[in-house]
Amino acid sequence: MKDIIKYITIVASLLVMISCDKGESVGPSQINTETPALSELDIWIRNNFIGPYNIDIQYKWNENEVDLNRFLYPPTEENVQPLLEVVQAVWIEPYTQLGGENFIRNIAPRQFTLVGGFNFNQTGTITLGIAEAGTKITLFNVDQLDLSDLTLTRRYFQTIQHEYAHILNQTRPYNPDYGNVNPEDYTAQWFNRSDAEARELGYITAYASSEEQEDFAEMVATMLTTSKTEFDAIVDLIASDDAKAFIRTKEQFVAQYFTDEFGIDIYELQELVNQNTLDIIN
Amino acid sequence: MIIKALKKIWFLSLLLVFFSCSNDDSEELFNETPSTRIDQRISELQNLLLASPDGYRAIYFTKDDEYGGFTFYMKFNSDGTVEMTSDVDSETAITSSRYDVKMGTTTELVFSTRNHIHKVSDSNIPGLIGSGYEGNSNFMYIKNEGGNITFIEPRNEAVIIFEPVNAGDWANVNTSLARRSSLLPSVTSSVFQGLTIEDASGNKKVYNIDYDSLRLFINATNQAEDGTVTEISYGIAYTTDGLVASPPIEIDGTSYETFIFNETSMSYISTVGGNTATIGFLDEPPFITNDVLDIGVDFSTFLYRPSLGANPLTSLGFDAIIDQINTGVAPFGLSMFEFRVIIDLEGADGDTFLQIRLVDNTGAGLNIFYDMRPSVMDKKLFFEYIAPVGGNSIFLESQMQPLIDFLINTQGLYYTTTGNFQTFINTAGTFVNADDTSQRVYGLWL
Repeated sequence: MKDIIKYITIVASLLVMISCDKGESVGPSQINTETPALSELDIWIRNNFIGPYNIDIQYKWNENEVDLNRFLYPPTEENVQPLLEVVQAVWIEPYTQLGGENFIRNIAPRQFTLVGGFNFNQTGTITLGIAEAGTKITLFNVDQLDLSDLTLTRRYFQTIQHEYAHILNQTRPYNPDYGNVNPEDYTAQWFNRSDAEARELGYITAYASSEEQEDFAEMVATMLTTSKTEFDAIVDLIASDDAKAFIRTKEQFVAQYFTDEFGIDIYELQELVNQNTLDIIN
Repeated sequence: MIIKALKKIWFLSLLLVFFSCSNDDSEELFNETPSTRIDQRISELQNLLLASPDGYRAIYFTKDDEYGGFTFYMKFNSDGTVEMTSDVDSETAITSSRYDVKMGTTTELVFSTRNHIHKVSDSNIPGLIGSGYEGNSNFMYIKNEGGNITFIEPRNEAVIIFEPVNAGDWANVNTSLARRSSLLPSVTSSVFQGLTIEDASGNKKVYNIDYDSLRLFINATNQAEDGTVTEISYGIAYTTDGLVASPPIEIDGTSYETFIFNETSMSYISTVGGNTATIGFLDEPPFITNDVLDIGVDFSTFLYRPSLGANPLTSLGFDAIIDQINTGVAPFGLSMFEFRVIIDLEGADGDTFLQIRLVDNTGAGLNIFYDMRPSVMDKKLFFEYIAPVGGNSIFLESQMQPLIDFLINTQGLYYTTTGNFQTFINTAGTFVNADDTSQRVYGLWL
């Protein structure tokens, strides 16, 4: 009985091994790897974003890139390039000019997703843009962007400056003392404050009063969407001397951070961005 | 004992190895590799889209338990562009955008840059903020039947069929768009709308319809003699010839889907096996409530004061009456501030009257009075005219005639209680002129 079992075992093992040996080599790929047809816009994006900076621009509809519970649509094709030209002018060019040719190449989100419509929240507010993990930025309302309106255009591109500040922070952390300037009024209910109320507490915007990282990003974004004169005017309008001092201290932290970590003078950057923005509006 | 059992198991498992090896794995369910089959399916749909030289028409009901549908005309080109128009709004110019045919959940058609179809996924439509019509940009390819291509939209499982059209059909987009006004109230249209089902022997069943012209959605309710209420809801999409209902209207085993517009009766008619369904304006309400019996019992003074705010329940036909009165008294520097109808069914002459207050631009003014005699018959309220009371009332009688005619018409008035008046605790109600159902007034009881 034992022998029989052994014998059967050997035969079975052989069968298993032999059946595995097909002896054929791997053939060519079965998957279609042809380059899809590229439109003029696609080629422009390749030459201006993908090629030089390794940043992909998703303007065609892909439901997996957006929240399925929202009702959104892709942008009108004609609106994509004008928007991207502004992205170049107010973000890529100033940083490249001051930080060097490889600045944006080394530190940048890897993907921009463009959406044509409004992203309405449950509360009735509208989200203009979101950033995920420092690698993907989604911009909404592409079809509603009016490049002749300075306030709206600045508010729109504040999103990019804000998110990029986060990405910079993730690469080089800022001085942790920043969080000790005025931590007492940070709140998760920041949206119940107006910008003016937040400023009287020593935060540049309402969102800045949510927590220190957002505070830092909002400081950078506000500085990069105003001229130096306009920024000073905002601070001078604040009634509370303490609040003014808090914001000025934080401004110094931000300026120090840009000089120490990247060798960039933030005021030069501010002027460049401001000039480029004004050029677009006019 | 255990070893014996183990041996048995060992032996049995070896047998299993043999049998499993003898499985017929040479049988091929598909001749091609998965990637080739995916590619084939993609080219199949791509070729189908290009097959109709003048494009396709599709009626897209985004979510037919909440909204109606819209018609789209689409012409697909081999360079990845699609030209499109639609009757979603008055901008019907043909625009071009991109489309993709790709493998998603299944083979999908994606409208990848903005065009007419995205108007139904725009969440910024006044009245529909945050949701829009809940449409989508992706459509799953299901089947092709003689050139008609069926898709399913994954979010709401809406079925959309692309039908080939001729170049001349594209202009019909303006016809279907223009139909949108056909069910909207006008100065002369009746305030009653209904869905009437009539069988071959002439038996009628009338549903009162509540038409939401923004959502293109209809709620139809029927109250039977025994009080049972049945309700049917459906979305509609206007077509070149009439309209289609989705889901189809199922009544007594008959399904009505396609309606043809009848110019004479200004209504939409669907005929199925000798039965007809008609959607349109009605000369009388499908059902008369007993609310009129509360007059003089629960309330007796009806007030209409335009400055309290407009309400869609006051019809354009009634607005025209007020306009007429205001034009009539304008030469005296006056306009109508309000009118009251004081009703006392048990009282003597002089207890029931119409009181109108006319004011000048400082707010100062005068009250004028017209005595009437009330009665209730066939669930309707009737007034018999007696006479004006006082000099001013006599002097202004001809100017007040449109309102007096509204009240004292020979067919009477339909009355319905409609809950509370705006944010007040007062009961609200409407009167409709049974002789001319385009006239309805909404007011409150004091």
